[in-house]
Amino acid sequence: MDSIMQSVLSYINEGIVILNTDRTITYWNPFMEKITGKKQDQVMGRNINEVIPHLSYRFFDRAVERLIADGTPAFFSAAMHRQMIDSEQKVNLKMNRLKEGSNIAILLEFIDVTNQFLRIDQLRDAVRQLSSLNNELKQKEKVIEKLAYYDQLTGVANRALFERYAEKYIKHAKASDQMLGLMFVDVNEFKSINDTYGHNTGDKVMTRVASMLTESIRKEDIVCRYGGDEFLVLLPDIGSYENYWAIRKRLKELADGRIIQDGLEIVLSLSIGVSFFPDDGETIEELVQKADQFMYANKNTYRSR
Amino acid sequence: MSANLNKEDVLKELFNIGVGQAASTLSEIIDKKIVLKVPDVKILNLQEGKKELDAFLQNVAAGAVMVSSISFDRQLQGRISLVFPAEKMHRFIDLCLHEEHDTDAVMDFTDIDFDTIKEIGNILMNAIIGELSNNIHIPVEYTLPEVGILDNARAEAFVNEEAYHLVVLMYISFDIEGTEIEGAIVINMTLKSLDDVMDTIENWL
Repeated sequence: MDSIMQSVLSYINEGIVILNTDRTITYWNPFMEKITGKKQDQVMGRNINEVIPHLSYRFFDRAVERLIADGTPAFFSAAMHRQMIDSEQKVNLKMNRLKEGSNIAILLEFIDVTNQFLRIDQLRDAVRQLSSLNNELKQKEKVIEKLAYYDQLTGVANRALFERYAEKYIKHAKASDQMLGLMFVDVNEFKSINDTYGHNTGDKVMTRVASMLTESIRKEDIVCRYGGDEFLVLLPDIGSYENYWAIRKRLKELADGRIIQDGLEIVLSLSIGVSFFPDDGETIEELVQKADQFMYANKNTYRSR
Repeated sequence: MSANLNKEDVLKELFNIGVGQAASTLSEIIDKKIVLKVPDVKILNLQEGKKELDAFLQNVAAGAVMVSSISFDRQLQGRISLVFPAEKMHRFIDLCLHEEHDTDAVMDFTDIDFDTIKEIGNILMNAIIGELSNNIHIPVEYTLPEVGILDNARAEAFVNEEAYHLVVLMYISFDIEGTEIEGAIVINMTLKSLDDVMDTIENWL
């Protein structure tokens, strides 16, 4: 090899090895010394398989045979051959045939990609962190949404969410000519429950009433805490008064009577009013007002007992 | 007509032997059982080839494809491309590298991914073209494959517009531990090259 070519190969930033067809090393450049820690004079004339044992795998051998026979180039990636040099260095290997007349030699190029592996590991870490941060944000978003639209004490919808659903359901009822029911539910003598058993127990009773309401309704109905001891229930596509009565009956069975809370026996009863679109009103405000009136009528009956 | 069919059958058999060798080399390298299947080989004229390839690109590889391709010359001239749907390639590469990455933290393809596909493409295309070239004793010369991603790929990207070219289309499926990835091998070669191949095969029959 002429001296200029030798100098070029010395300066090249990749490992260059030249082999005879019997796999003995005839050239080993300084970059190879750097990545393998083996000096040129230690490896010259030796079989490449002794110097880089990973290359004694059969598939490397077959690739070399084919390269010698018909010049078929081969490529081995650092990702699939992680131990090619050692466990630290990551190199790609290119094999090409050098042919001049009848002289054949094998050119091996070892391209150091260790930094790429490190950088990609860092990127993967960053992507993983971003993804977990993103999940955290999504969870927080859900919590914020819950705070904005759900009653903190009972977990049912608050007035803001009620208004959204009410608007949607009344539009649907008008467009499809369907009945929309609206229940107004009030816990009788709730002030006296609070005064007698304390606010803590009162809050628990309120939460239980919300659960009883949720248990009594259908899947598409919406329970909302309207304020204090008052709940509204939207009953879309209720279809008939009988369907409403079935819901009311389930609720009464659950909520009218004695319950045990914090070891105390508490008498619970509900006053219920109901209004229907279109018979009782064309807007949600009218329906709420009508249901409220009917609820009070019901409450008066309760009081007069 | 029947002699013609027989020649094609021999050609299919040669491709299948090549694919079988590639599967065994790949299995050895990644230390996992790989089954490579080539259900059908079609030799088509340019128009038919483009139509068929476009249908594949739309149906199987809707969107982006990962392509590994080499050009070959000397007595046989043309280009061979290995085409895979890009969306399946992260899983495919993970299986080859014995790695597991979260699907919701998928990055773009890295240089390491491209190098992995370059090696697989090299093994597969060497086996196919090498087997053909060795058996029919027609020398072929080529370089290492180039790998890239093509968005909204169309047949034109793999098929030479010149009228004297033909398209050999092979659908290929990789089965690595039960995960199947379908792709295509497109060989776009000159009519003369294919005639040379067919003439040599005819002499055997």
